[in-house]
Amino acid sequence: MATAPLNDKCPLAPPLSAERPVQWPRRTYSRLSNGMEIVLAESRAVPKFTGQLFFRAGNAALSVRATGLAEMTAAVVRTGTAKRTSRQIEEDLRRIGADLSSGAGMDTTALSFDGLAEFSEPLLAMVSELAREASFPEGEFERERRHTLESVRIERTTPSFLAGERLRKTLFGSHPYALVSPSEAQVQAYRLEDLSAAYQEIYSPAHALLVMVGDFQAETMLRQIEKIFGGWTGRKPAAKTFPAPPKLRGRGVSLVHVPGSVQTQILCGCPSITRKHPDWLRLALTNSIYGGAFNSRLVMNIREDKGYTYSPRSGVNPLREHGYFSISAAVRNEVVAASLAEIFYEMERMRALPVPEAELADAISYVSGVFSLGLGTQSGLLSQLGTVALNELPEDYLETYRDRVRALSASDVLYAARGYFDSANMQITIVGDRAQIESQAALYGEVAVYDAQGNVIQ
Amino acid sequence: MGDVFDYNGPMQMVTRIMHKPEISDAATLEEFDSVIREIQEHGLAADELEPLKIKFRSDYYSMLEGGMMPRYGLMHLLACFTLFDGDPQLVNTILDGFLAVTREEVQAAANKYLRREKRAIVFRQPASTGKEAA
Repeated sequence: MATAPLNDKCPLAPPLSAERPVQWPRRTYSRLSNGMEIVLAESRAVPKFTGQLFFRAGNAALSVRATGLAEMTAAVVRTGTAKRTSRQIEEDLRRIGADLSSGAGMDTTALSFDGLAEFSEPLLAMVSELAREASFPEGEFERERRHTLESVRIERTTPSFLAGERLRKTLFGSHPYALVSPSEAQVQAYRLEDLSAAYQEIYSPAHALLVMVGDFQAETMLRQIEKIFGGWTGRKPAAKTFPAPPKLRGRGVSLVHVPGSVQTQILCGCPSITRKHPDWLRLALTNSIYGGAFNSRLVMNIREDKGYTYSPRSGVNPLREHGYFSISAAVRNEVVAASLAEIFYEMERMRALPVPEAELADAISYVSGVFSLGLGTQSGLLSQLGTVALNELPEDYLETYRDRVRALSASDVLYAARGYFDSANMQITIVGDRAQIESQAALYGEVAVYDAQGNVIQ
Repeated sequence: MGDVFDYNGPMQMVTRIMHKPEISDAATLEEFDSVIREIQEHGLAADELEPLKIKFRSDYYSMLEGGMMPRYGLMHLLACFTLFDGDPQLVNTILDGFLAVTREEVQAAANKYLRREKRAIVFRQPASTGKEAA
């Protein structure tokens, strides 16, 4: 949607009124004797509830065995238990109007579900069954394998995927965060017994976290949870240590060659902080001024003013052990160098000059307002509570968030930009047709060229 | 077109089917027809309607919460019911009508509206690139 330019006749927007107070939902924190942590929040806007059963291990923990193994295991967990076939699972979910999915990221595995409040018991019973008694049917495994093969083939034709994969390899080296997706050969090599072993290791109450938000009475819900999950036992998986990511000095340039590509995907990044870091909020606000929001400097510059790209964006990606900062833009082939010039110009401006007060005030309203909006639904609240619990943030993190954002100043923004927008050591990844973009990329450093499969090409 | 609620007048019912290349359009269409025929001739099975209503109710509440921004669905429905019916309170009562539908009404609706002579089909087929995807 294009933004109409303001003209002289256009009245000024009325000033913002003060933020309204948030009614914080009642929360209950507890832990079962088997180690499972529980966070419950009552929220009664609709007669439903939503929840996630997290395990604090994901693809990174299993990467020594196979890339993407936790994700594949999660997919097959959903397809059968000792008591129910895949089809019965679907029918039983339908009967109670519920949805249930399973998945794994780098650091966690999760069963996610939502349903009508009156059917919490059968839904939680199914979650428990999947977490404890998954049966790994051979036929379902092969079906998921075919499905995954299809997905990984499609990924390799997607510029944003190729850029992300290459940047992660550059930033994380031999740390498992470098491995974002398996190859076809790796998917072909998964064996059912690898999945069962991964299941035995990861799906344990000893490192599980159950977060639920919805229309229930917390004490009653806790008793139901104890009844369903109380008898579950399991050991905490051994803590894994991973190799440190490389210390990168100077700008590096990687080009993934996609012959005939009509546009170029740019993705620049550098190491950054995790959610736990005391500078997280400072950096979040700084990012929203730079390129994290629609009215941010980068978007206004290379989209609205110059028209190089449709949707540039920057963000801080907080993985558990290491975060990274990244800037992405899909641009026309002839403006690759020009776009990079603006990306770095806006970064340097953030590092050199304090942000004007009016711009700061807008950004604070935006960051604080988006946060409040996100708390307005059961699923939004669930996501915030999950983030707090998984990152072991203080219990009053949400209550104090808006005050802490409002307390930030132009010097906080300057501090964060100087500390974390590591312009001199930014790693540049571009994906597109080499013939059209390599000489532009070379203006920024020595170019390493790869094909879509990740092989170095000369 | 929009959803079940944001229109006022005749509406298309659209079904999208994506089938595997080894199965023909005709065979896929025959499967689709057989499902409709079953309902037209015999109606829903005795235990089929209740779970559908439960799912519909569950999805309705989710719609109120969700959408393009948090709780957009609620705003959207308030707007629709005000615009078309002059009654935003319908957001609290519209479900009752859906939950009162009988098996006979479903069968009658299938016979009245899901008629071949009223149907248009669009086949979208990918152009062959002459090579396997890389």
